[in-house]
Amino acid sequence: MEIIVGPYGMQSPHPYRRPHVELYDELIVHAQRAEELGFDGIALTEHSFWYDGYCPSLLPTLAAVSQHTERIKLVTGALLLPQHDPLKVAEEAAVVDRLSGGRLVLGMGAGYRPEEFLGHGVPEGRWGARLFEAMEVVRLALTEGTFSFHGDFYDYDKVSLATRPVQNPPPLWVCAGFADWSAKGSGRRGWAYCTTGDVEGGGSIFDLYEEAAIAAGHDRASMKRGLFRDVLVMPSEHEVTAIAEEDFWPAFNDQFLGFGFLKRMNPDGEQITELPIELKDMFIHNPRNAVGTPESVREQMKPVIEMDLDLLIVRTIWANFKHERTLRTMETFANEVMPHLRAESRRRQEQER
Amino acid sequence: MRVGLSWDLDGDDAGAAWEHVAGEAVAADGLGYDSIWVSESRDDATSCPSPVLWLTNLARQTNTVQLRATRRVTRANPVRVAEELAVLDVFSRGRAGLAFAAASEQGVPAAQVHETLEFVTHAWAVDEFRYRGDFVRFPSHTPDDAPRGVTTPQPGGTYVPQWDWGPVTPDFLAITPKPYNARPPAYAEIGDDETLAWAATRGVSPLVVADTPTAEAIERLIRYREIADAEGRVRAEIEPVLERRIVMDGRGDEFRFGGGSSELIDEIRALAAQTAIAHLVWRRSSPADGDLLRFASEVQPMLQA
Amino acid sequence: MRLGLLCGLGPESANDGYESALGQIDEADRLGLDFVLFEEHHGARGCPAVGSLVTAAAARTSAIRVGAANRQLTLEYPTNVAEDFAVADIISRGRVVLGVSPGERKAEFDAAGVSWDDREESFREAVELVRTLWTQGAVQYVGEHYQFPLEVEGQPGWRRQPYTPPFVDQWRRGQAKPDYLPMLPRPVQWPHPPIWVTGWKRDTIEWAATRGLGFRCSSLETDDEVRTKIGWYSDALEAAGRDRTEVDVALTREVFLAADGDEARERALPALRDHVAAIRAEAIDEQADLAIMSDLDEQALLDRCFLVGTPFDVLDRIKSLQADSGVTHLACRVWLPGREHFETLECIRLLASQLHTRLVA
Repeated sequence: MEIIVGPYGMQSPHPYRRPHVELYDELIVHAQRAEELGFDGIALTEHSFWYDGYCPSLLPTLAAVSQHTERIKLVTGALLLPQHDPLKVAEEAAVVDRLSGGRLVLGMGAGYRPEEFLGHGVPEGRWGARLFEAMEVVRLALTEGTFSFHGDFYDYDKVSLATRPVQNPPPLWVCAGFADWSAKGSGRRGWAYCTTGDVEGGGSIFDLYEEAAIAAGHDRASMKRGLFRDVLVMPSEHEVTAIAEEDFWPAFNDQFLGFGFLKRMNPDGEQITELPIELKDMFIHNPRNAVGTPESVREQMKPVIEMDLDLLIVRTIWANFKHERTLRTMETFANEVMPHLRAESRRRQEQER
Repeated sequence: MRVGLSWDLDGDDAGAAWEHVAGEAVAADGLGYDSIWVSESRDDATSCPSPVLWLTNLARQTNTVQLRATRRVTRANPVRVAEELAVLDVFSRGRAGLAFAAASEQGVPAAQVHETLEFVTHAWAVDEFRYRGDFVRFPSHTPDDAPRGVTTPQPGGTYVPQWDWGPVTPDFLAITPKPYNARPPAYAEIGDDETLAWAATRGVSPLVVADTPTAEAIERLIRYREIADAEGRVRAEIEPVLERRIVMDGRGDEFRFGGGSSELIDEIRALAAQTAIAHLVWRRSSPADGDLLRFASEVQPMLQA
Repeated sequence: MRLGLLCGLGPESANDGYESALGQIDEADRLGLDFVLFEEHHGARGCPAVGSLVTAAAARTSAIRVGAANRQLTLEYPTNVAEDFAVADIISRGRVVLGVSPGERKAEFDAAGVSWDDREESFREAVELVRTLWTQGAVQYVGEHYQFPLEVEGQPGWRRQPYTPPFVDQWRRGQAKPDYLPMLPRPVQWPHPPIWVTGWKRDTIEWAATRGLGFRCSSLETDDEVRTKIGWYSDALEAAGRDRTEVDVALTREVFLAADGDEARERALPALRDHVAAIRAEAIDEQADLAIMSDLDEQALLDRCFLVGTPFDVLDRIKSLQADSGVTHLACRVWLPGREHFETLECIRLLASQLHTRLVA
């Protein structure tokens, strides 16, 4: 199991304003620290047209990170592929892979904010279908010398990328939420599948994924599982409580409401402007979420170990998480949780064998 | 006069070519060269299809040198062009600049290059906007009856911050993050007469590339200057750039400057006096063209004072 | 819209006041505000050595742009200003803004021995000279008021040094009287640091537009007067075949924000009263027509000039100026004599978290 820290969005939100030049400076610091602490990679995430300057250009940013790290994987988690030209993404991926000596991991998602599609000139609707088609284009471009592709959305005739990646190809992942279509679609097409888990954060969604994969004739062993998991771990309980209240909950509020991620209406049909308090239990106090001291987080991670993951993206950062606190939670996780996770998952693998 | 370096990233071995260029770029930064330029190409295994990305990887290895990417408009979504350069500008703390290759080189109408450049510079400078052109439409649901070019929203209604919007589809969008500079420098290659006249009228800085013979380059830069002067453009706001190959201690020809340090100084200064270029870019072909350290100490200072 | 601060640090600020102001700028830098401008005056409500404050602020900050609000170019030889701000641009790594003004107090010109009546003409020449020196290498400049190098003769205007080989190194040329000189070092920003012209007369504003210079509207104008003046500027820009995205249009406002609107007004007004009294006492001819100089009562000032209240009270006014006049930069004077350091810091935090975020998208 590879353990990745992130994903970083490079945001300067209203509760925690920062100059962007500082945020990008700090990204390098965090990436180097992650490498020292023994993480396997660092992930970035993208959105466009968002007031806080959310990073819209992941591959260029990873190109810079590649020059200041030596070992860790550089992960897009996720690059919103249907909003890009897939051939262009393949080209840039090849360049980053070369610059980093073959450390790129390309996680790709569909995106869900209508304005991002319209802003990048992509018609609304059928985003999932576009994602899978575009991923196929990326895969062909990165693996075949010359390829043709004729789909519903993309059409290429005898195209070849002159600049080739080091890896053939870099690992390609579907990055998705908990929607059924993404699990089934990924399984059917045999894509590696990284998810936030099922609605409650559990692993049942992987069953759906594997059923679809097997039904489509894919070998079970070739299927890869990834998981995004929020982790807020600090040495003491009161630090955890402080961050949960001051940083975590407000971040969810903006992320879920403003992004249109949570379509909840008041009785009068208007979009709600404040998250219902019960969601706090669902997202923060949910026992499946890793929020607490190292001891409790080790306990909360048990079901994760049982998911037999190939990739775990440990989400230690949300938009308004303070720089120092994020470093601290990263360190605490690396020193007090990660060794346990690695040992347990190795033990499990050996047992299975 | 500012002095920069440019490279063709092509070579037999991608790893070696890129490493070599990155090494020269980092050295150039240390030696006080003013700019480094790379351009988009897809010719062979070492071509760099994404010069902005390539420069982003150099942003933190260099301190002061300006980073310039020459892009094509084909296979480029103008929105992504604006976003990527903004991130480079933030990452490099305001050292990014963008040039566009000539339309005839790319086999597109000149208007497509002009529109793309106009769109990109607006995207950096304004907040929420929309754009309707023949080649660029942003956001894509901008209606046909929207005014041509850029429009910005009119005030009205209650303001709702973006983080309280929920799932709505606005008519105007802002590109974020904004570049560190409000206006990163933008250049147009003036190989086409149409673009030359357009750039001079609009005050877009001209770029003449290495494969133009020197005599033609001079003629074009003078023509640009005459139009710009007639249009009331102030010379201080325009930065004409000339890219040349240089062979130190070698023989010059109709494309190249050649000679010892003092001959090069004479050639370059005479040409600068004639064309008012603000910026000379040395197109590097091979290390045998000349030593960067020697040029930086024997020629570059004499171009400044 | 980019959001910043404007600091007028008078003689009373010289000790603790400078330190507090720099502390406020640190906070603005930490919170991602875009710029800070210092106001120049030789006497009350301004610092006589703005260049020094700019470099000091540049050295202790990381991201924020630093500059002058109204550098009065003609009070000294403009070459010195070009040099000061080129060095500040280097120290700040390209974060300098040069706001310039033709002059605001006759006494300052008298004290410097500079003609008050010629201020407009000499100001325009000075701006052209600074721009030329920043961008052109070895040049000469012949104007009515300035020559560079001094005593050079020839046709009015500037020209680059012609080139006749062979090249002689500067350090081998000896002490000949020069006809051409380069100003070095050059600024970091390309083609040069932004220049924002402050002016009240219509022809000053139109001249700035024609020359492609930015415009900073002062805090003396009411919102409607701001619209008129930016309208002049935009029209002149269009007539010159220029586009609005080529230039910055900045607006200055007296700003005081607090979580409670009534409390904000109560706390802001005493210092604002003194400020307006001082402005009225020293109005120059070109400012005499402004409404603030005569018939605005306190309520009208609050409604039409100052931005005081909760962030939401002032947001609609700013948004509407942004939409119909295309203001790109808002310079906020949040500190005035008599106002506490901590109140000012609180106000800066509200600017960053509540206003800035709503002005960018």
